[in-house]
Amino acid sequence: MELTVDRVSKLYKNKIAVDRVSLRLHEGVYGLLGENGAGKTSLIRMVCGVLKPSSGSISFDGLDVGDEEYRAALGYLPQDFGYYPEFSAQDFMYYMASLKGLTKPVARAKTRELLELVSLSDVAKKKIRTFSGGMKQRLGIAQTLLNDPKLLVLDEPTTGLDPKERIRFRNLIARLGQNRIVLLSTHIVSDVEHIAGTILLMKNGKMLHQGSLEDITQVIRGKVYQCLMENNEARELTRLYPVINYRSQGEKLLLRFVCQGEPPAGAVKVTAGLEDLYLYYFSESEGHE
Amino acid sequence: MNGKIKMQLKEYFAAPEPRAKRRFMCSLPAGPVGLSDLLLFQAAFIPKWIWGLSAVIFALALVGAECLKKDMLWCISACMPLLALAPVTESGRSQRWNMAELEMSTRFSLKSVLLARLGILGLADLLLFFLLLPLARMNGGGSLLETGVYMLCPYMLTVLLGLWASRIVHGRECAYLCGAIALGVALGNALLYQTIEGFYARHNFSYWVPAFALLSLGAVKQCIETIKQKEEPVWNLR
Repeated sequence: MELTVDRVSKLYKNKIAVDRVSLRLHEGVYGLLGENGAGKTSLIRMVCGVLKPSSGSISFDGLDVGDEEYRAALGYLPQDFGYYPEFSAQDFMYYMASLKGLTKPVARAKTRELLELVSLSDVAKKKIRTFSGGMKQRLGIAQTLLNDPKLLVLDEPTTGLDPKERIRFRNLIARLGQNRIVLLSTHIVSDVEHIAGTILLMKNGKMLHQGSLEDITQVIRGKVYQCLMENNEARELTRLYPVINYRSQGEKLLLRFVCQGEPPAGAVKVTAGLEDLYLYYFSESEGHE
Repeated sequence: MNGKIKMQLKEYFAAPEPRAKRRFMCSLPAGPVGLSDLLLFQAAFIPKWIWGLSAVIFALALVGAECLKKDMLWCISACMPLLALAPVTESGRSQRWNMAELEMSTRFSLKSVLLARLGILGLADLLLFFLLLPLARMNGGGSLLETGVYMLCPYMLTVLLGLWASRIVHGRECAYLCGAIALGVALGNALLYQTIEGFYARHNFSYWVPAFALLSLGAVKQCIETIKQKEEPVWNLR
């Protein structure tokens, strides 16, 4: 099982949204991280055949992204999706099942099973317009699994879910990644940190890093420090180093920052995590390198 | 095995309760489901108001022509744009309700869905046209051909303008605009009949034929453009 993204680019008028991205994905969960406008959604839309790349090619096990068989193997949850106003949760699932080419008996059985999985069985016949954001999101996740996809693409799947639901879905996604390719795009760094075997870090349309958590945090390993200081000292430090986090502790401030050379007096070295790396890269635009 | 023995077997041997039926059903492979199944399934998801409107127009024509013995041609022609409203609004329904992205990523992509919907509605409108044709001609003097052309001109004009508008304007505004176009054409048709003497007279038919041909060509062109707009992914530069 292999998803191949070969030098894919997307141009919108004079803006490059995705710049010659190449990937080879196999079974497992892949976490796509990046700030707003990094090109994550454009890349995901191209992988799902919704958006036409300006150049490059995308294939799954030799099937071109434009092929019907490619789409038959795909489960996709867009960042923002709608529903026809007259639809109940069950109607929506039946409708999606029909588009995915499922026969009626299979669609019925799958709908029942998946609505149970996402805890929507008791509201299966209720109109979607009466649902909360979290319920709609759960319904969206359920429809992706109707065709038992070999390639599952989820754009911000845990948005709108409460912490308990988020953890439940995190576990579900991790389980699904055992025998299929799961490409997960999110802003929630902890979701990626917990379930993604491989992390893809995007910035300005380019793939900055790809690898395991261990591999990609290598860049800042041994360079993350924490120290408690006065407000005026903290201001000075902010000018010198990329600060990852601030927290008030009484009269003082607890700062977490990245330092390449000799750290200031009193700073203690701490273990670098994905959030540190993320904030390190995406705070560069604020004046640090 | 004949029916009698079957009945007796049923009486003496109760069938066991199914075990793990749902798991079995879920393990069944997805296909093969053809385009005909898609057509049937899509027909079930066409909004009810479209079928209701067709029934109302037919009932109106039937009562007017059969019971009241009135010349219903102008009235039926004025109703044709409302019939055309159904395929026009359906063409932009996915975008309007933000379903297009989901539909584009499924096995039967948005293009197939759209073709299925337009095909179903086109067939339904064609059937209704053939039912309305004798009623429109019943108390007037024109031939079947003339009556047909008088009825189809406002229909084609609405399809042409509506599909053009739906490619330019999106969302809820598109539905309002298409509604306004259909209503405008319907009222315009009725108004012209009232103000122009001999609107449906035989000597004027020579103007109607080229108008019908041009409008039909325009409507077909708009149909092709609309479908092209939905067929984003036939690409990969290799």
